[in-house]
Amino acid sequence: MITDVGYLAVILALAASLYAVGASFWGATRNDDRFVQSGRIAATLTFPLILAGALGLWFALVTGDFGVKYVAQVSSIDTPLFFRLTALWGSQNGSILFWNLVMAGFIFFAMLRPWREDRPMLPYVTATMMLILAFFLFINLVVANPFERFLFPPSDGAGLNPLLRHPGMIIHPPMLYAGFTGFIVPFAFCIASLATRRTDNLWLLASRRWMLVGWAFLTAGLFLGGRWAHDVLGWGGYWGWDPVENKSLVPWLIGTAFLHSAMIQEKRGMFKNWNVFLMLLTFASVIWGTAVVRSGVLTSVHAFAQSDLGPLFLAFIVVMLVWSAVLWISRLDTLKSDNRLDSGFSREGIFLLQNVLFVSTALTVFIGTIFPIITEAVNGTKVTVGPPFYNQVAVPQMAALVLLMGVAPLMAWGKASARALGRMSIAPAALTLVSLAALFAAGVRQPIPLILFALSLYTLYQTLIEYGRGAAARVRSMGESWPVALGRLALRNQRRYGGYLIHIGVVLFAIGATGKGFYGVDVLRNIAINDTITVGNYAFTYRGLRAVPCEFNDCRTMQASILVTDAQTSAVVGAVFPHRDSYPIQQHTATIADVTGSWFEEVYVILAAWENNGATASFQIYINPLINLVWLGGAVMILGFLVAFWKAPEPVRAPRVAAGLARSAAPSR
Amino acid sequence: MTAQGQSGARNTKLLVGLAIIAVLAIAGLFAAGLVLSAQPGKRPVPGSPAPDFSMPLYDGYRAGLPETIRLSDLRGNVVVLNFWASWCVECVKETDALEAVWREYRDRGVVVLGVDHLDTEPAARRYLEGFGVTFPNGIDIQQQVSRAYRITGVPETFFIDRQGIVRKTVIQALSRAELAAEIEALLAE
Amino acid sequence: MLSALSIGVVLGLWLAGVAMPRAAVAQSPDPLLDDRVHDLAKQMNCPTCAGRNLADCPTDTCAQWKAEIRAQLEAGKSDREVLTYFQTRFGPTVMQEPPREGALLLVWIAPVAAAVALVAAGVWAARRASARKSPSATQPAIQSEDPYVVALEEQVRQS
Repeated sequence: MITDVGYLAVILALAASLYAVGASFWGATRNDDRFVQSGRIAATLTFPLILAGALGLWFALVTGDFGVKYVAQVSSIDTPLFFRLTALWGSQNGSILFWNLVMAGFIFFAMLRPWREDRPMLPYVTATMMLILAFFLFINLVVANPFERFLFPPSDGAGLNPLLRHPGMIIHPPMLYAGFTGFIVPFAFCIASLATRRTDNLWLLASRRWMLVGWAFLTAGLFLGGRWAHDVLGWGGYWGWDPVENKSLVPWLIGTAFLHSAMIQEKRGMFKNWNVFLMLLTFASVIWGTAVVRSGVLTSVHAFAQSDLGPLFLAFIVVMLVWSAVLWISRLDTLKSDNRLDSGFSREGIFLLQNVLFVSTALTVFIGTIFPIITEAVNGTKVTVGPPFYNQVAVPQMAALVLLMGVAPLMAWGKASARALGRMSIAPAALTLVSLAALFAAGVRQPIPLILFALSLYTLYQTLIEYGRGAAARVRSMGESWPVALGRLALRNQRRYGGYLIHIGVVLFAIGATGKGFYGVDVLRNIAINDTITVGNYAFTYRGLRAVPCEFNDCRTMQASILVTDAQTSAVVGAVFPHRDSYPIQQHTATIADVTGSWFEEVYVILAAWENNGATASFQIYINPLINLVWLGGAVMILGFLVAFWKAPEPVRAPRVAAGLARSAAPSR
Repeated sequence: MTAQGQSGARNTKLLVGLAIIAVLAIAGLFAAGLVLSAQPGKRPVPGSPAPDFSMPLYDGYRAGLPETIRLSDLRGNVVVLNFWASWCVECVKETDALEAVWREYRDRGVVVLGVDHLDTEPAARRYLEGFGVTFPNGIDIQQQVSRAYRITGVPETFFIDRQGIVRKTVIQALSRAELAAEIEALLAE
Repeated sequence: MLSALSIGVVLGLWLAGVAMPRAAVAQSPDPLLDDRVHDLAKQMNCPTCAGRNLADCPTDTCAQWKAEIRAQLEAGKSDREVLTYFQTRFGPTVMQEPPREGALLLVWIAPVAAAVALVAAGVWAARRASARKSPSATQPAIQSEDPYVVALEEQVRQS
């Protein structure tokens, strides 16, 4: 009953969204604010309605109502309560409902924000967001309906996919969905700005914080996904260039490019067309990403099953692109730059180069991802585009971006002075050379990791020095102590120093990725019981294999125990208990690794196989130097976002916003 | 608008147009890929001619046939084209049956032809020796045959009549009775 | 001019590095047979599972293929010869990266070409954007009462 009410609520949400589209357009063309407001209210209502739908489905999951097909698909009698709740996004149909819920949440807050200077845009923002929501609700109700019922309810369900029973997997989809759907608001503002011919900075300023929020969620989602892959998938790494990973990376790359080029438009009134293009591209890539995963056309570790959704999504992207393109072209006369690029050797020039690199990296990842589909369609062979491709083609571009991160803050607007640039590069360059010498002495000899470390360290030192330079100015001019100076500096320039902190996070990640990528050890060894083998600096003694109670009711676990000691000193490093869980009903085996080692070097062991009841066993042993910097980098990036985003009640904020608006209010025709 | 401004506007329009065309082209590429890969493909269905191929046969498993066999050379015979692999668990169920019908029908103009799919030679030989197989078996070089017949896995069997037309496709292990029934039907024509 | 040249050189080197057919894998300094098998397996695809490489794959099929790799290495074949054997026998789809030949070279070249095209287009477009104000007046007056902010802005602008 409750579930059916939820079902009805979702249908009502679709009706409300369609109404909101009509009312908004009507109100806009007739200049009748009542209809615009009516549309706004209807749009606001979609969130509570979809929430009711989600609650209805949650109710069915929690009470084990296996009459609902979806519930039987993703849970069973034995499923613990916590997983019953997270099973809402455990499979295709429910996850689309969850997607709609998150999207409606963003729409809800967007509708409720105060609309002042941007009020003329309101009907168009509403209509755009409602059209997109209506599409997703439509496919949720017609093609992928989680509320469908069996005629004859089964007595038990299939249970949640074992891969999804991990904290990383629980939080990673919501984060990603929030990232993807968060971009809907800036996109809607972009369309509205074109429609209303207010193509100055207004839409950028209005949607800036939404874009940041979406970006932050997407970043968190990417790192959490990597963490999940590392902990659960059992191949010692955190990123496999899998299509599903790639489709989350492409919008992130384009979105990051947009965040930067939007700054240029705010400061110099340039790149207006480029920003419109990037915004359209960001959103198109989000829809493409979701299409690629849900249509079943790509084989992947965690894609959804084959479905009819592919063509529908494709039609949606094409319609959206064509419509946006027509709108854009018709407004080209309003998108004139306020300034020209005087010199490539300037901050604008560097930003342009960086933007181009982001887009070309995104294009690389996109090409690599869809290439197998193309070759299969052309001549039946599904060519694999795996990590070796991306390592050779995408990673160099990303390394160049890391370098640009370090160079850009040194460049002045308009035209930079090479002398000044050289002067300010001396310190970080010197520090980098010293660090390289130290690395070389420590045994880091291969050219490519040395180059990558050099780029990362240069940018790290450069960014830290920038921060220090600003704080030094405060200490000198205001007599503050260093800690106070550092804190106040960040607070008064949140965007800049938040950004620098994000850059530091990226660099930490790059250093970790380089360490793990080039100096990681990955071997398969067979050990007899109570025997010891040596890998790298570690000795592994296999103590035995036994059956242990499994975490859940539908699995059996075989667990090995290994003692890890230092190969030279025989000091104990730790003990690991890698295990294999087999789920007979699901026909699935999970290999769960165990880790030990130090913070700087992770020792990661997987139980690959065993013979003679465990008399001998094969282990996949990974030694991952610096991998923890990957997670730390991600955390620092989120911290940087918080610094940039947190609304501090400082008076200096008002003049900045007013100045921004004053610049943008000047007509740009 | 100055002359410079006018040419600037034209250039911008040009670039914007190019950008949009590029994105639409990419979307179109993806669409084409989606559409084409979603089609069942040119999988040989009953009634369609069996795609011709040439395949090298394993040493010792030629049964009097040439080193490299062409399907068209077998015209006039009923051909039971069977895709298998040594790592295929289901295939184990039908190997004896295939060998049995081969021995029974080889003198009546029936050829049981095995295609070893994605397999390593030592493992394949061990498998064939283990079952005492004598019917011809070949290596599917570059997965040509598997692709031509668009197989989705192993075991799969195609019954081809004397005129080279596919008459039946089976995506599971077959019993001796089922094999014999189909062969008899095709022989009777 | 210099910057364009240097970017050109870097791109050229990268393109050459990517497009040239190359040795299969750097010989692992550790000559252990297990490790050589593992290194080669990492460059190949699992024949039966989706998107995983041969080294990470736990199935029997993969075990067989790895045994074959091992047998060939034991017989004295080089890494390159083993990979060539598998590619000749099973086709290019057995590798983790697309072959650098024929139409498939496109997947290697296209991203680099796109990057170059984008840079060129961007610079061309930016230079031709119609001028509105003279460059000297582009930076607006610093709007703040806070002397610290003024000082910092000036310092930033000077740099």
